[in-house]
Amino acid sequence: MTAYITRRILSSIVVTLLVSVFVFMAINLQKGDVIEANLAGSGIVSKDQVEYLRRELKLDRSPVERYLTWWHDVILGCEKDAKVCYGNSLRASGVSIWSRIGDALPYTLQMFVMSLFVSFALAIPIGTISALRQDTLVDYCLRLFAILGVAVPTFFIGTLFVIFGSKWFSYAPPTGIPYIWQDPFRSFSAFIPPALILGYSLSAVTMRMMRSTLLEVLRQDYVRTARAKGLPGRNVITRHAFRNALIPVITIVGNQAGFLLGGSLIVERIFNIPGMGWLAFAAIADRDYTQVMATTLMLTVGVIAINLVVDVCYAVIDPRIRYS
Amino acid sequence: MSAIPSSQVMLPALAERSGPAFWRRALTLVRRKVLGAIGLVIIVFFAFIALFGPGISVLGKEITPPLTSTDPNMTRLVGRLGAPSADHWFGTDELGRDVFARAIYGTRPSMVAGLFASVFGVGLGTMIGLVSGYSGRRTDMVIQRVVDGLMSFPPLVLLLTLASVFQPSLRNIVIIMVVFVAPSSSRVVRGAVLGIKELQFIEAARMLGLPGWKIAVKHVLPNVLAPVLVLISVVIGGAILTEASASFLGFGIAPPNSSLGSMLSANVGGAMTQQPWMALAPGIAITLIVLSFNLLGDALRDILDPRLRGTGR
Repeated sequence: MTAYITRRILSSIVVTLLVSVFVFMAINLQKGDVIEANLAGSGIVSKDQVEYLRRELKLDRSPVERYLTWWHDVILGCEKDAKVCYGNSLRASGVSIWSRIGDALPYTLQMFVMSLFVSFALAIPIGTISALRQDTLVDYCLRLFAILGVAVPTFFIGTLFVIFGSKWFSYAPPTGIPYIWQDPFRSFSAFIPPALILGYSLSAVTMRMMRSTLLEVLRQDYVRTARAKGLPGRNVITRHAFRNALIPVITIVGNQAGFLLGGSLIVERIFNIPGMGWLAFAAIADRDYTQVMATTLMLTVGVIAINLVVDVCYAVIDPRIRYS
Repeated sequence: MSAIPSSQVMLPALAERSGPAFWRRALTLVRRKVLGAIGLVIIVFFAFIALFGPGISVLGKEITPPLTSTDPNMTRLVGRLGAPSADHWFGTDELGRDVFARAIYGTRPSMVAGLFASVFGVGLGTMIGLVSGYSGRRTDMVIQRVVDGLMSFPPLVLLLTLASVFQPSLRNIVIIMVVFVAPSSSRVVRGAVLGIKELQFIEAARMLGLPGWKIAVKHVLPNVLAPVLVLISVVIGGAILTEASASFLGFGIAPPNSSLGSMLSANVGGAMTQQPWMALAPGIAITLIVLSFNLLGDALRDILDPRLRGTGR
């Protein structure tokens, strides 16, 4: 197991480096740089000044040099008298890229936990019932309901929620959401609508997984044995089938991590949540590439880490799984 | 075709292509997979709109007229944000454009984006998965690490980064979606290939001295076509949603033309709060299309490939 984890971590480092090169290439292909995106066109700076700033920010250096500088500054920190530090955001000068991520991350994590909760709370009962009532009207209706969640675009349902919420219930997306530790109640309630919407959209996949694994488990020999020895049907399902069916469902968390960490951008936008998706979006629009690198890598590492944890948990819970 | 018929894994009803037996079987399938059949009907309906909605013209010559005579890009100063009426069935948007006409014209880009992204994405993924799974060892290792990298990339961030590199257009959106449909589908195909590779008929082919590529293409590939077909149908829905999301964020089809997603995006800035009608038609259309592809995909999955049940999106 230790060998497996070590190998996974080593390969994760390779993957992260690959992603960083890829992101850096992509942002260097973008039209315009941070100066153009934010100052040019405003008319307050002359061409000379733009050139000066560009030199100052080392934007005139070669991409390879800047890429290496970024890693240098991020890992070792900057030299004291350096004019520009790639450990800082280029847009918000002097602000460290990590502090901006630190501002955004708690929101994203809260969203992650709450949406996952909603998704499981919907998917597991629905998946169970529809497996037990396979191919009946109940099964169809429940599955239709869950699949509808994946079909309705989150921006559509989100926008409708805001429109009709404001028309009928004088609801407005909150501004300035406090962190969960500052004002637990207000923070929690601000996240309820977006978490419901995201969770609902995730639940279809989980529900499908739950339904199909339960169907599979119900055909296993040990379930037949449990039935044959005369256990009441309810006990067979809760004690033998349900628990075992639940195990593979855990792996779905890994699949959804990527979507939840970065893909919640749309919901973040509609509900004014300054999370990681928003930060990535703004950084890309600003051509703030030190920030883009940090944010994207952070999200990537998050996805990789969650997948690793899920795989390890899976092996711990289900002794039949042994990674070699 | 290979010595071992791939029809074992294929749709039983397709084994006989015509005659009363075929129709009887098809009917049984429809009865057993009600939701899938409903999905298929809805898809056919929207495919019809996508195909004939804006009219078909080849080399500037009109072959069929558009389904609506209203110009979807004509702005009207009087009658902006109108409620549905006899003239404008779905109302008018913030520039006074007819929402019904824009929805009719916007269906094609959405469907095209979904179809092309999934067919090319899954196609590319199949090739990668085939090479990776069949060749194994080093090649497999290298390919799988690259796939890992692409897959651990948050999809929307990848989309936004690439979308800001290329000009927003339908073609570029499709290319970008191919980039991130391919890795995950290559995984599924690779898994299937790994299973088939160990079967006896592959061993037999190897004993006969067939070159590796020939075994991969002629014997392995036909046997993974069932999961590939299922994958395509499932991915289409997701691709349509992704195109819509990108358009919603302003990275989709170039204005003034419409896609179902961009019709919702223009509205974000307040116009829709005054006139929710204009959001309903495109929103419901996207929902129905994606829902139908999911229902069809589920049904296909049950029929074609029980192993795939419950994986992927």
